[in-house]
Amino acid sequence: MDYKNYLSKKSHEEMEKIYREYSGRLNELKKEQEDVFKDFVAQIEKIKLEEIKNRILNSK
Amino acid sequence: MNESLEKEEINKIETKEDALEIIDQDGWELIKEEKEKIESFNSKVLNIETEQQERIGNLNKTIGLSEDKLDEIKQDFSLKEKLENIKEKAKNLSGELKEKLKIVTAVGTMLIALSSGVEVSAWEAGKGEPRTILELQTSSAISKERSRENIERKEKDRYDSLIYRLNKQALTDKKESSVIIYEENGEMIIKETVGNKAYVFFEVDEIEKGIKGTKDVQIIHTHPLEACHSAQIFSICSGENIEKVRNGEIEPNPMPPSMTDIISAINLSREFGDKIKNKVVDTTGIWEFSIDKDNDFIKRMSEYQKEMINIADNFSEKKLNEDERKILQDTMEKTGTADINYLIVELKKDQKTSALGDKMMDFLDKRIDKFVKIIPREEIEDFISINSLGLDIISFNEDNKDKKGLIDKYIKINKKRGINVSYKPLGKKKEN
Repeated sequence: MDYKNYLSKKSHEEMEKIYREYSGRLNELKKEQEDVFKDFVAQIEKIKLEEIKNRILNSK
Repeated sequence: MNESLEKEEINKIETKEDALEIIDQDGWELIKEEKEKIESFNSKVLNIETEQQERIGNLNKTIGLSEDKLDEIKQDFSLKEKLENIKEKAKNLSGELKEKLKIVTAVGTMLIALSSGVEVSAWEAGKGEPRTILELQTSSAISKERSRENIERKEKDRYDSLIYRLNKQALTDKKESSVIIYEENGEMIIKETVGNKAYVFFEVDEIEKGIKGTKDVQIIHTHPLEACHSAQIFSICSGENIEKVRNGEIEPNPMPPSMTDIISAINLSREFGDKIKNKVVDTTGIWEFSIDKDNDFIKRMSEYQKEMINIADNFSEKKLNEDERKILQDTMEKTGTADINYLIVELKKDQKTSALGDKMMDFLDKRIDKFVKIIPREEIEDFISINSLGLDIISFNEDNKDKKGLIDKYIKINKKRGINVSYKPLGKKKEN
């Protein structure tokens, strides 16, 4: 390998490293988004349960 | 250029000329990869946004609550804000990634180009490169008794006819030519050297003689139309374009000083001072460029280049044992060059010497770290822009038609970094 190819290879590797790092950070954001939706659905279920509970209590 | 041909080009670095031909290709590969990675990442960011919309749509359909109730819960939960925040973070990541990749590309492209900047510097010219020299020394018949005015008029005529000839040669020749003009014992000396398709060396001995004289030393070289074809990987100039220009079907484009020309001018300025005047003659006109030694970027680049040029000597003195030094010297003698890149190629070819090639690579690696430390990012980016603008000026592509605008930009950015460039179309009075 000549020096120019070596420089080129080194630059490509560096790019790949940065790209992997940022892809990893983006995946973390996707997980964060997933958690937001999970929490939201849990919140809805909680509210729905509350409503059911209230309806039962009110009907007695 | 198709992919297999590109690979073939990369793999066939056997001669110095081959090495020079692929400089830009390596840089180009980096630019392509930068673009692909940014596009791929942006598409992932877009997916996050799409996913948000789809999931909200599904919630509305499946959750079994009234729209008003769902909106109320969304609001209490701050769903919109939370999702917006994630979207914003993703976009910021995309921006950061773009910036980081840009730096890697800029530094990589720059280093690839600089690693050859040494080999086309004037210094190597004194180290036994084979070349043809056409000597056009002023005839001693010019009588010293003639008036100074008469001599100056004749000198001007000779200069004008030389530039006219070089301008014509740029259209037809397949190789670059360089001319050094200086004064010796009151006479104008013109020395001409024929180089290769994409480079030409200057005669250091002649420059040294010239700076002893009272006048400036003019170093002129041609940018033949043919040379634009060597940049074909950028798809800016084809053999067809060249033929059409030669047949008068289309106008030629200016071909400004390249990154290598500028690096060479920086080296000449450092070693020989302000008396050096650099000129490039292309098929359309003449470019003049000089170096402002007080500019911060020039100071840094000059220092870096000096180090690059001395690397072989320093390396030999401080890091090699006697046997390795002998191998290196033998290789330098065999190849007739002190260029690091070329020497590494040579050393790596032979199993017996390849370890020394590796050692030289490791040593050079440290120089890369130094380069990144001493040249600020914005200066590297500007220098890369000079190169890209130069290619846009040469380009026959439709989207680079505004040559005047591109030349103005090229001159402006050069000026900012201590390189004073002017361009004069030949046969026209107006000067940029």
